[in-house]
Amino acid sequence: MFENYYLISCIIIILSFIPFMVMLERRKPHAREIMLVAVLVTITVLSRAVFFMIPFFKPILAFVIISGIGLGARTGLLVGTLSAFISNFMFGQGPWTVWQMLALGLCGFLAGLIFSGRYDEGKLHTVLVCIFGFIAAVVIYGGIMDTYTALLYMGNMTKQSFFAIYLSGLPVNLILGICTVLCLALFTKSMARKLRRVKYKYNM
Amino acid sequence: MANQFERWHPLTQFIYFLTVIVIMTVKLNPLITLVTFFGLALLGFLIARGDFLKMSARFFLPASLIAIVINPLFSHEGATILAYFPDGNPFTLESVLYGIASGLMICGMCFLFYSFNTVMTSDRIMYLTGRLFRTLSLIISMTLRFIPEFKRQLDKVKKAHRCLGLKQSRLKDGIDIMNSMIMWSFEKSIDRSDSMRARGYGIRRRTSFHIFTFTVRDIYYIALMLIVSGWYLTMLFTENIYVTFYPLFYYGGNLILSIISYVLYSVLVLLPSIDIILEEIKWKSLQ
Amino acid sequence: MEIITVDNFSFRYPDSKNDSLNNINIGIDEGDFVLICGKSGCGKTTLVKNLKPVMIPNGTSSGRILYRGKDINTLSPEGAAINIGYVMQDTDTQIVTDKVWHELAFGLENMGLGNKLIKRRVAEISNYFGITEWFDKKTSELSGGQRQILTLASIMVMKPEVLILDEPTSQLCEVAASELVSILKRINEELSTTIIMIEHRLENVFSVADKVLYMEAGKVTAYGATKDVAAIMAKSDYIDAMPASARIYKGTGLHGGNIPLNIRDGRRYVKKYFVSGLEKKNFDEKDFCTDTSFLGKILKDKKEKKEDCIISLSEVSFRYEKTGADIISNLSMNVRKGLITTVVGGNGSGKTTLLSVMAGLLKPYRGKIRTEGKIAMLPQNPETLFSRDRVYDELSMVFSKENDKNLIHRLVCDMAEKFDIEHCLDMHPYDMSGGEKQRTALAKLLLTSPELLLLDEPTKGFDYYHKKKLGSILRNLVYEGMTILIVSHDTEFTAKYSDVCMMYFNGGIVCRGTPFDVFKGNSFYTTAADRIAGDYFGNALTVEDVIEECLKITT
Repeated sequence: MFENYYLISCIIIILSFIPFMVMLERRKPHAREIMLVAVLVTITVLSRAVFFMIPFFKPILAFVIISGIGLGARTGLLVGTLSAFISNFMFGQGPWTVWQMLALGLCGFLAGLIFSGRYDEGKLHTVLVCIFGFIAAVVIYGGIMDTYTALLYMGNMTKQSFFAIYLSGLPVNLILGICTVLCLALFTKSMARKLRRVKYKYNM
Repeated sequence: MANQFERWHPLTQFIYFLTVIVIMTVKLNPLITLVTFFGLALLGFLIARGDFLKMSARFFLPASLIAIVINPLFSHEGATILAYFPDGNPFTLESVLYGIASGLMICGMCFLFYSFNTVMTSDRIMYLTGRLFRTLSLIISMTLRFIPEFKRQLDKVKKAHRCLGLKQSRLKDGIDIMNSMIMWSFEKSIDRSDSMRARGYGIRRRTSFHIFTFTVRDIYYIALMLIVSGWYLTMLFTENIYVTFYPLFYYGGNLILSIISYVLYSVLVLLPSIDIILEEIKWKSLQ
Repeated sequence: MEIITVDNFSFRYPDSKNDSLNNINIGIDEGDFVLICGKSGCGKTTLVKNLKPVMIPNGTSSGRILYRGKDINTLSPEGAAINIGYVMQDTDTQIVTDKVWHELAFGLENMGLGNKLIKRRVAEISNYFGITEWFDKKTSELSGGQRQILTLASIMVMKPEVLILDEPTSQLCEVAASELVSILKRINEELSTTIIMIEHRLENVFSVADKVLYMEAGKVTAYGATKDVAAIMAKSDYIDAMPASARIYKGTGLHGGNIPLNIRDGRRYVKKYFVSGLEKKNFDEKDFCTDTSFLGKILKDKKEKKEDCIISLSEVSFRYEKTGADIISNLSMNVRKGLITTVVGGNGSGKTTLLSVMAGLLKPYRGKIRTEGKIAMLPQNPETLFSRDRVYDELSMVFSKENDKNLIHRLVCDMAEKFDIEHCLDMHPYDMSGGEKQRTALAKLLLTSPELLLLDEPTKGFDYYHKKKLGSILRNLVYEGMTILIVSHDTEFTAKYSDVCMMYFNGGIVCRGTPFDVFKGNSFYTTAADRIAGDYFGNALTVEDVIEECLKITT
């Protein structure tokens, strides 16, 4: 019936967010918790502005991953989706918004799932985090955003056309991967220290 | 300089954008795409004039050109073969037509999001999310409040750091500044959450205050938009409107019902533009 | 009826050996305006935090605090949130949402009120506080004074019975501070809201407070009617932090029963007891620039040798946007080596911009700047210089890693000793007090061994004791050969500690001279002591000068 899968996939993505949002509303999060989320989203969204003098340096994904590691999968998902949504407030929403929310949210969620336990025990290996960051950037984020491009631009998809789009997206994804790894190597430990201090001060 | 469209209730505006994007993308239909393209171009022009034209020439039209070129390169379906590529794949009329239609659709989508970004300001989006997801909308509001403050502090930190005159690489400067900003944001957040609790956050279930008013006109508009989109989707599913590109480009279905659908859809797309133009005429006649 | 009763209350922080509050007994009546003062660290903030249930810090307490006869901890959460409003020191951090209207509604949303009711309350409060004009604005676009009013309004919208404020004016300029105090007075009188306020800028508030609570080292020293407590405070060593009129009163031997607390009363006091026979001096043009000291004469010399100046600006103009107005226009100035120079001028006149131009952070579109040596600048907010989790690392980061570790360690420790922050070296920078933060930032700057130090409003938000410490640190630095340039609107500090003073107005330097020369002809922009007795005594500028002159008359 439909050759254009773009609309359907968007609807599916949006529907998949809803359970998490309902969970968030049900939980009635503490003032400190939502304050921390808002602060992390702000840091994530504006991290690019801090490094504006270094071209191609995009630390957004790295900070989403760090948020997930420090505060768990749920918060990671929230910081990821909101960072995508709000950074598009500044640069303009578009057909990509929903996809970016999915991509960043998923990365934050997985980071939390894999690492937040280790983080709480104080056994966090920066090397492992970096490897995860690279995979997250190239496979998850890159893969989702390339799928978006393919779905939007090509109604009838063939394996070939998909492959061509992924291949053309690879350089950009690799740059993002390298940036993410660099940022994670630089900030994972220091951010973990800072988060620990805030949590202590908050009595969390 | 608010126009009539910007005075619509956020929900009405949102339903407008939603119905247009759904009808536009649910099925690639050249006539629908054309109507959308011109209707939204008019709307964009009415809302932002010069800026819209500049953005279109610079970004939107090139983006759709890419789509027009890409499709025949990768899609080799279609019965009417015009030529062959060096690798032996066929270059078909149908894939060219499909490319043009999807290029127009992408351009229409750019126009749509251009109007969306101009009209749906952050407080309107927050109102919409706030109806259902109150915590989420509060977090967005808080983030939007921090962003300008963060930027201001960033500017100060950059200056202070430059004044220290440390001889180190740009990356190291960036790391120091980032660390300073993270530390500052976290520390301030502690006081901030105290201020929230001091005003009773978390005691009861929050309500979500807004300053928008829902008028009778909004009810009419929403009803109209829902009826038109419902009609179109029904026609599409019952195959009274029927379009295929492959293997042959074919327009079919019930002619009269199709025409009615297209006219109705044109009214839907043009609704805000008509409102803006009528309002201008009224003002001129009043003076 | 007493609205708040503090009954034998003591409080101790978890890691502390001493009680921060020791056996406090006070009663606050409904509708009182209570001013709390005392040196920093005397337990003022700890006390008021204990009056607001959600703000109560970690620690152990004994005794009781009653709200309308009931223990404050048994109040319902709603009751505590609505009835007791709390305004913290820093306005920026208290605004939670992005729009003015949303901020006003925030508390009511938390109480779960419906849209119609909130709309009505918000409309009412906007009218009362005159917010209607900027009701639709973003909170980030407001001025400092507007922010403070918004913070206050967003608490008053919940109709509290008690309003607690912790140094609400410390980040405000003079004009906004006195406006805030008059609004508080109106709230107190018209809505009969009980107000409890901590403040160290006493000039404005003494006249509006009904009662004063004076604390020393966690204990109540005096509590009662303003005049009575002020008289007791005058006899303690807190006198130094009191208004100029009170200091003159004390220094001249406490004549008469009534302590003068503002400039008008101070003038009456001086006139009544000391200068009743003296003629008021009228200054004419000739009397300007009468400083006959060595420095005064040098500064009047039009020709200045280049090698005497560390930085000279000639006809410098600057603006932020091409179409905007000039912030600095055709400004020429020389800063002489080895002195403390202060540029004074009103708020928002572009003094910070001037400093940024001098530090090379902003480029002027016209004019020349000639500098000698390295320049360091202390920003208004020292936190902008912090990027490490430990004060020691904060200081040692200035050196590159190749340097000898032991050498770095020695330099850092010496500097810490000099600035009295040795006890902070292992702390987190944000755990220090405001004064310690500023001194750490200064120490960090000095480790980069600059020759010119620029300070942006270094006294803003600080009490007398910290200013004194800062002043003597700066004098020591100059003694060691540093050149210092301060921008400030603190006239008392300028008169006391600087060698050269320049008045900045409308993008240019209006006059230059010793502080004596610059202030002596002014009647608005001068020290409080000069306003009290300046036109009787030709060469009295500071409180000490006035006291000396008064005593000369009596003997």
